[in-house]
Order: sequence, then C-alpha cells, then structure tokens
Amino acid sequence: MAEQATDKDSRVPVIDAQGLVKTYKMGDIEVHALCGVSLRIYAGELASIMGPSGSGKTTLMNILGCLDQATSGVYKLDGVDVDRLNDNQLAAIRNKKIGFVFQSFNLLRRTPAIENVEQPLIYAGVGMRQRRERARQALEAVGLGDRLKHHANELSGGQQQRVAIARAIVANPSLILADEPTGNLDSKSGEEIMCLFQRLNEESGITVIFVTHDLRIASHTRRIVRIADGQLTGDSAVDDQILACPEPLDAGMAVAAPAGTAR
Amino acid sequence: MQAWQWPPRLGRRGDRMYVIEVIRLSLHTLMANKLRAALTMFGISIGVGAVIALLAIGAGVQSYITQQFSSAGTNLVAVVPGQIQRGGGNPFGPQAALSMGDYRAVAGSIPFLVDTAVDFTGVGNFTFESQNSQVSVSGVTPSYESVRNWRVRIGRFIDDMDYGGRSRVVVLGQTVANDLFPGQNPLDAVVKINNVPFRVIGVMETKGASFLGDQDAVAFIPLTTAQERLFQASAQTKGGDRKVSMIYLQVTDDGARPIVVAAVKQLLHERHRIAADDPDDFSVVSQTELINTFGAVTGVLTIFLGAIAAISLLVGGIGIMNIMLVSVTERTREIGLRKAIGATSRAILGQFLAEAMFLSLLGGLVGIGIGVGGAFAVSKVADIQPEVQLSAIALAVGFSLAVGLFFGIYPARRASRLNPIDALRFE
Repeated sequence: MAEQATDKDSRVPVIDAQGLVKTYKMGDIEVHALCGVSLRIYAGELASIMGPSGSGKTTLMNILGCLDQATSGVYKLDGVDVDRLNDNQLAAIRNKKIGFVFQSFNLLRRTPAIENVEQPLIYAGVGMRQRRERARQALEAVGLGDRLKHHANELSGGQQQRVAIARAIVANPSLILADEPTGNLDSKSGEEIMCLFQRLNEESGITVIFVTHDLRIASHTRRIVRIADGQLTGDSAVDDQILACPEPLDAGMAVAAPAGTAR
Repeated sequence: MQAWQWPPRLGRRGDRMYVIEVIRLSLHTLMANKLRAALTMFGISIGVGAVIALLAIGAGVQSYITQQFSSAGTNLVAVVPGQIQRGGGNPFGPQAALSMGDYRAVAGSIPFLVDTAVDFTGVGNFTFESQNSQVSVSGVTPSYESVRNWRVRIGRFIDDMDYGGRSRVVVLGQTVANDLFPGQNPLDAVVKINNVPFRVIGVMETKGASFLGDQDAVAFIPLTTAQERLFQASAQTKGGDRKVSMIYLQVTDDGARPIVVAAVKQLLHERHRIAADDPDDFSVVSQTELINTFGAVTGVLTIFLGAIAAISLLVGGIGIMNIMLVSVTERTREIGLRKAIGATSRAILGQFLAEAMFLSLLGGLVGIGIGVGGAFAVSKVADIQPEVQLSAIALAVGFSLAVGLFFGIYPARRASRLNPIDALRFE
C-alpha cells in the first residue's frame, strides 16, 4: 500500500462514516444531534473536527471513538463494521484501535505514571514484563523517561497530559482521538502538547483527530472538518499549518528528558 | 476481516493473569484509602471475632458440662419427681413427689444395683456466732458419699448410727465451711440450722462451681433428721409417707443402665398408678441422658450466641456496601476512563467485587485474631476453657466472604453498568 500512499481513494480509510444519524429522546422531544454525517479519514492524517458547542462534535467523537453507536448510518473503523458490535466487542475495539486523550487528562491519581500508561495493556491481556517495557517506551516517546515512578498528582498539567498521550499510544492504536487536549493547560504547555502530537504524527505516522472549538488548535493540524447543527459544513486542508515546535522538532523534548536521568 | 471476539481467547494463562491484575488493582485502591479500608474492615473483623469467640466459648461450656457430669460418679442413674426432660412441669411442684416407699421399692426390687442413696433437700438458715448463711441442706443416707463419689476432706461422713438415731450432725460443703468458719477448724463446732443446734462432723472435698452454681454451697445431715426434725412439715406426702428429693442408683455397668431405667419406670408407673397414655410424674435420668439433654441446651445456646454475633457481621457487610457505593460514585470518572481504554463491564464488575471481597476477607482474617484472643481472654477470667474450632473459623471466614460478595455485588454492578460517556463527564 505504501506506493499508493498519495492515492487516498484506493486505500482503506481508518474512519469511513456514511450518513451517521444520532437522535436522542428527551421526554417526548427528539433531538437530532447528528443529521447524516459522512466522513473519511485516512491513516497518517492529522485532522481536527471543529465546531461550536452544541454542534454535535462531541456526539460525533463519541461515535467515532466507539463509546456510542449511531442511530443509523454505517461506520467502519479500520474496515470493521462497528454498528453491529456488542458492548464487549466495542470495548475490545476501543482497547486495540483507539487511544483517547481528554481535556481533563483522566489519570489515576496516586498511581505512578508508568502504571497509568500500562492500563490499556492490562485489558489487552499483555503480560507484566512486556507491559512495563512498552509503557516505558511510550513515556520516553513523550519525553517523560525520567518521570516513570512519579505519581500522576505530582506532575504538572503539561506532564500529566503527556502521560495521557503515552497511555493513548501504548497499545499502538490505529487512531488517537483528542478531545480539547489543551483546554486545561496554559498556552506554553498547550504549545508543547500540540508539538508532541505533530511530532508523533510526523515521525510515527500515528493518525490523530482533534475535537475542538478552538481555531488555534485546529490550525496546528493539516485538515479541518467543520461541523454545525449536526451537519458537516466544511472540510478543508490547512495551507499554512502552524508548527508548534521550534526547530529541531524534538528540542522541547530534550529539555524535558535530560540525557542520563532516564530510568 | 474476521469478527471481533472479546475477551479474546486468552487461554488459561491469560485468565489467570487477569485475575492477578484484578487483585493487584483492588489492593492498590485499598492501599490508597488506608484509613477508610481499615475502618470498613474492622466492622467485619468485629463480626467474625464475635462469631469465633462465642462459638469457642459455647464449645468450652459444652465440654465443661460433659466433664462435670462424668465427674459426678460413674454409672449413676437418678430418679427425680416431675418431668425434667421435656421442659414442661415443675419438678418440685406438689403434684410431683417421690416417697420413701418409692425408694424402698426401687432399692429392694431393681436388679443390677451396686448401691443406692437418697436425699431430701431443703433450705436452712445457718448461724455460727455472728456468721449467717442460707444454705441448701440435703438429708442423705450414709451411702450417699460412695454413690455420688464425693468424699469428706476432713472428719467423717454421716454413718448408720447418725442415720438410725436422727442425730443432729452436719457435714459442710467447702463453701459453707469457708463462710461460717473463715480460717478456723469447723470440726466439733455447733452451728444452728433454723435455730436447731447441729454438731459439725466433717467437711466435704471441693467439687467446684458448675453451670448449676456452686456445688460446694451445701450441707449434709442424716435423712432421718431432715425428714423428721428439720423439714418435718414439708416432708409429708399426702399418703402419710415421707418425701424424697432424689433417688440415686449406682448400676453395675453401662450395659445394665437401660435395663435399670426401664425397670424403675415400670415399677413407679405401677406404684403411682399412671395410665399408659398419661405423662409420668417422675423422671429417670442417667448421666448419658443428662449430658445429652444439657448438650442439646448448650448447643442451642451456642447457635443462638453465634446468630447474634452473625448480626454484627451483617452490620459490617452493610458498612462494606456503604463504602463501596461511595467509592463507585467517587470513582465514576475512573470507571469511565477504564471503559474508554477497553475495560469490559465484566472487568469493572470484577475489580469492584474483588475490592469488596478483599475488605471482607482481610477483615475476616483480623477477626480470627480478635476471636481467638477474645476467647482466651475469657478463659483467663472464667473457669471455662474455650475451644476454638477450625470449623468455626472456616464458618466465620466463609460467612464474611459471602457477606462481601452479597454486599459488594450491587455497588459493583452499578459501577459496571455506568455509561462511559456519562461517567467521563461526571464532575
């Protein structure tokens, strides 16, 4: 497939959603959160789904993240038809194919960073030794090789989010879904996080989708999908993507992980 | 692409690993909330401890009673007025009476008897100088000493001369001797029983306290003296005979006992003119029966005590449920996250259930210590040797695990059914 990388339509998309409809019932009133959303996202993309609150972007993210299922429409994740899966199968899909990064980090407090990162591997049935090794590698990849044993509550906001990113990538998923990942961070830490995402995308080819209302965040990506009132209103490539990282790309990381202190 | 299977076929190794993970996770959480976990555990510990201690004490009492009866004399069969075995009737009621005639008939015609004794018991007011004491006084035959296998420590027991002559002599139990003659030799002293002077001729050896009270708080006088002098009024039967309180029959051996019991029953049926369907107005009890009867009573008592203790275990279980419900609410976001990163409902259920089971199991283990310690503390204070039985420990710990399971399952189910989207958004 590598030689066809430029020809998107001939590849299997990571996300292939056709006519997604999501309807909630609140009492007698039917609320249409999504009214027919079709979207394709391919491996290696760095994209953002942007819309104001109430636009349906959170609903779309929940469906794309297999936390929820559409009322109608077809959603294929990595070629797997997700609509027909039961709860346990959805849990397995989330475990293997999706990494979540949340606005509020959602780390286990009073738990060492490395154990936080290990969590998805526990549910994947990976053995203890291998788990430790992969979690260590993931933490090194996000520049926290010297913070393995630090408890989550002893880390700064930016570091906590990096632990969360390590947790998202540790199971080697097809897709990372980041929901306002810089929303709880100051602008400097936010830049660092965006830099990290860009670097992971560029170096490892990880597919990342941001869900945000913030155009500045979206501008760090290469493609912006706009959503309003439950419908896609725009889908455009970002011509002048903001590169968050000063050259070279990993300079910021080098500060966070001084050589020799990594355990 | 093939259909997704979850959990994937991990095989035995995977399953075992997952169990270990769940245990690790729940221990980790409990360690994070040490005080809370300890307090919750303690509720179970007290319940388990109470069950083990009370069952141990109950078993101790039971074997103590068995031992008491065995020491009362071997191959003893007793005949008493009234019904004592079925729990009904008053054994000392006016309708129930055994007479000297009954005694003579039994002693004269029943086979396989080594010896017989009889007593008639009343309450006497003992005075010596300024000392005063209410004591159970038994008028007995000289044979009483050997039949009851209860010897005098100093002096002598009532003999045939005393018996024939209705002598005013008394043999004191150790407690009575201590009360009336602290630090003195009571022999040949004259005590007044209901204002009648009696000469002390002996002191019995110590028999010790039993479940019936202090066995040494008694005094013995000749049967004839009791029936015809001291308790003359109450000793009269309607037929003009004299009453007896208890007839003791020492049988030749164990095999003869049932024959003797049957023969005594038949004889007294005839003498008391009791029709076949009517209830007996007397009871024939052998030691075996007494042990069984009291064993049954103490057995019920033990179960009763255990049941009361089990209630505290139940309360401990409610404590677990309470803390688990709090925990589920507190950790809603954690549950949401775990589901988002791939935990199945079953995995969440297992994690929370394991926590509840751990609380109750650890509580149970601590409770064993409390129970065993409590039982031995009792043995220091009371005359009972508690018997901590493995079965009681197994029962208590098993029960505490069941409590953990029962009270843990609801909070755990609640956790496992949380919708990950709502749980992640929970503030």
